[in-house]
Amino acid sequence: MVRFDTFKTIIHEISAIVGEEDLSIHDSVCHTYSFDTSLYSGKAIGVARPESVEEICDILKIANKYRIPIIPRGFGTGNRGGAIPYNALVLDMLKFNSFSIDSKNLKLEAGAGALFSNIRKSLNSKNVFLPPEPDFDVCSIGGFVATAKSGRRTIKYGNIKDYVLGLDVVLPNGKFVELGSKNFKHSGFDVKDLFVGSEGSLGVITKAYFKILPKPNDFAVIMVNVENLKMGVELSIEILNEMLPTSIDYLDEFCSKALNMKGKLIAIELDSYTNVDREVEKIEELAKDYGNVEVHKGKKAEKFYVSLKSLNVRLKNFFKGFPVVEDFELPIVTIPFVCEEIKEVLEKNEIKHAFYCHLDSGVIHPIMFFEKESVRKYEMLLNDLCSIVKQHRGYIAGEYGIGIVKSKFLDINSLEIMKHIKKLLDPNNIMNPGKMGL
Amino acid sequence: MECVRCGICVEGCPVFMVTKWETFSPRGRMILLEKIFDDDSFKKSIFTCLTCGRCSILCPIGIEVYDRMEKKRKKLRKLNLAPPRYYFISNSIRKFKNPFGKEFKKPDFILKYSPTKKADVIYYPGCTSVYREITLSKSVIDVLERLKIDFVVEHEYCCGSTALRTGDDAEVAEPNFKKLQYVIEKTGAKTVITSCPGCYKTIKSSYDKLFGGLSCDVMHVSQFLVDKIDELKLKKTDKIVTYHDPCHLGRGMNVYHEPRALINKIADLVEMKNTMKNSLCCGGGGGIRIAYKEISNEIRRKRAKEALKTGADMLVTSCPYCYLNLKRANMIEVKDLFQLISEMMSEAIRDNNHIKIKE
Repeated sequence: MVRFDTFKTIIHEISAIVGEEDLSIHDSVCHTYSFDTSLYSGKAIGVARPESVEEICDILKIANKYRIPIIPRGFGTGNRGGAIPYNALVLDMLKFNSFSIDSKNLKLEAGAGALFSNIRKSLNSKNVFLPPEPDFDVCSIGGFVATAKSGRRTIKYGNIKDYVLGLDVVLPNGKFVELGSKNFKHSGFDVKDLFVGSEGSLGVITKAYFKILPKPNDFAVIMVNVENLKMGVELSIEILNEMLPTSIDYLDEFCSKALNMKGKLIAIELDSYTNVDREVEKIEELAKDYGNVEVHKGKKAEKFYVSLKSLNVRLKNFFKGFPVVEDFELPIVTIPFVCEEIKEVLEKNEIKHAFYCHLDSGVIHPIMFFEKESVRKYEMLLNDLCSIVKQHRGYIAGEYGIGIVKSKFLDINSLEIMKHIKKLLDPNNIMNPGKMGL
Repeated sequence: MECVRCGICVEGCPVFMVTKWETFSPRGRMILLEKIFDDDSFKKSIFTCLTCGRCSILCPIGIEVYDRMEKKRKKLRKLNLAPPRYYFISNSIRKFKNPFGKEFKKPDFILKYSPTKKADVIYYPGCTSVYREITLSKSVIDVLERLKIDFVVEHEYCCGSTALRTGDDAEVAEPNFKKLQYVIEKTGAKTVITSCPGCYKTIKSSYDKLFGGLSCDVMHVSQFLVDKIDELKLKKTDKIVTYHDPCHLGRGMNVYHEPRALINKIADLVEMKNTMKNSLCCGGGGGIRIAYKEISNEIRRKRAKEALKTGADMLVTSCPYCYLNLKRANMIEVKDLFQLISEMMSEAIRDNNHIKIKE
């Protein structure tokens, strides 16, 4: 903690950089910036809203001088506590919200504070797309890249790391650097990759450069009612033996009810630059023994994926409490019995829950409902769930990052190397300290 | 239902759009809901909610943030933590029967229709139309006259809308409820109509919750006129018109189609980018102009810009407060729907007379 008179000096100096209107130390403002969508909360000592790279450089120099922790923040919709401040100054990045699309060269440049859903709309209108999509629509580009977040479409199109061509970053010492070739190819160490998934611990990402793709011309979703998850996994494996769909999702009866549908469901997404008719036909043939099959195209199909993005919120119509979503990745064949084991633990602990899974990439999302003040109960339960996942050679943080929630489950050897790198770039540990075990 | 901070509402809030502070967004307000802080930003957060309801439409579980804000404001008022102007308005309603802080004389054309006789319909114009923009209530009366509606005008007390939206007690609205009920019984009227969406929502919805409701139908004038207007044989204006949905009429009371049906009879209508349930507030809602005028001005500029972008010559709305507020942005010609109907009615009469003279 800094002393009060030092704190006053710091505030005075930062205010001189961003202007009085863009710095607040009001308790109410600090409080509203002390949350994300996890069960955790922290305490900001102030919120600054820089509007230029130069302002960020100057702020980081001051932060280094006075050893002030800095947390870059986008829309605060992470769910691993990554952007929660603990006696830190929050850098609200929303003023970095501009983006430009170069559809001829298939490239996109976007400020860290640009909202993903706004970018998607613009890309759509230019007939191009950025394939990886976060599971939630309210997501800043900075957050998306910094947590290396991913959701559907990973098996076919990869995750966000595969699309980042370059990053503009302010390093902890206040130096601005442009990383990556900003072209499709690169030789030597690709340092920018270090910042994808760095969760604000190595510097402040101000802008990202992406590869984009032409938008497929045809798109369909096939819904198959299945008796249970095991049959869903079997069907997915059969499909994956024959073709590469865009995504295969499983929704249990609660999830499908939350989206106004019935029963346990498999949703298979297909896209193509010609048409999807042959694949649809093949899946219909494969799925007919599993249950009722429905094919949707156009608006109805799009609507399904839009509502899927607020699935955990919609589940609140059936469950009391605060939704906490996990992101365990597993070998696909193990999914049915791992989910059974997880279910047993949750039931034993009387935790209401639902299951949503990406069966193509093997990610399972148990959506669990906790009372708001039950961080300890959650942490104890998470220990059990993570050990089940590890037992089955799964990975504990497939999509949402590490933050404070998953840091203790990190592999010791990787953590050791991460600590070295962190020390090199941020010797005073001012950038998002305490997150990812750093 | 508790907020899970998904953030879907944040970018959709007009106050966030112009301030870009989480604290002044619906999610920020929900985070502060259970708290009390002794700083200006806290008050600003709670008292800049426009109560426009746009966040509730966006919320996947429909949390009515505006309703929570009204309750929170009530608590803060009791602790003397509301901006001083809010007390001024409440006191004015209690003392002068209007929110404007002094006593006014009612215009003669309203007195002429005092509820002293039996009538089918009671027209309640609302304070803005009676004391500030009298052409608005005059226009409604002109149209009702022309349609030979058997009506009286009742307007002794303020409906209490502004005070209720800013967290005042039910008691501030009770005199109007009682008076209206008395007039209904005295005149034998079957319908109360009002041209102000704030009054409409308050009289129809809030009075229902607070006092059990009036003993007759309550309608917005647009709903009342929609199946009668053909009788007037109105001409279409040459001007292209865009329509601003007042929050209390649209999202508040689900009235989107009747005003449009009326406009379609007298003008070519083009829609703004944010329309119907996604419509943006004019910046005047929730009492925000009383204490945070700069934010309100920026929001109304944003809305007027959106209207200009459609290429329309005129912005039409059906709320005296939206009308006044958007007009003062001085960016586009603004008319109240009933004003436009009355004007087109006069033109039709003029044309008719002209033809008769020629004949």
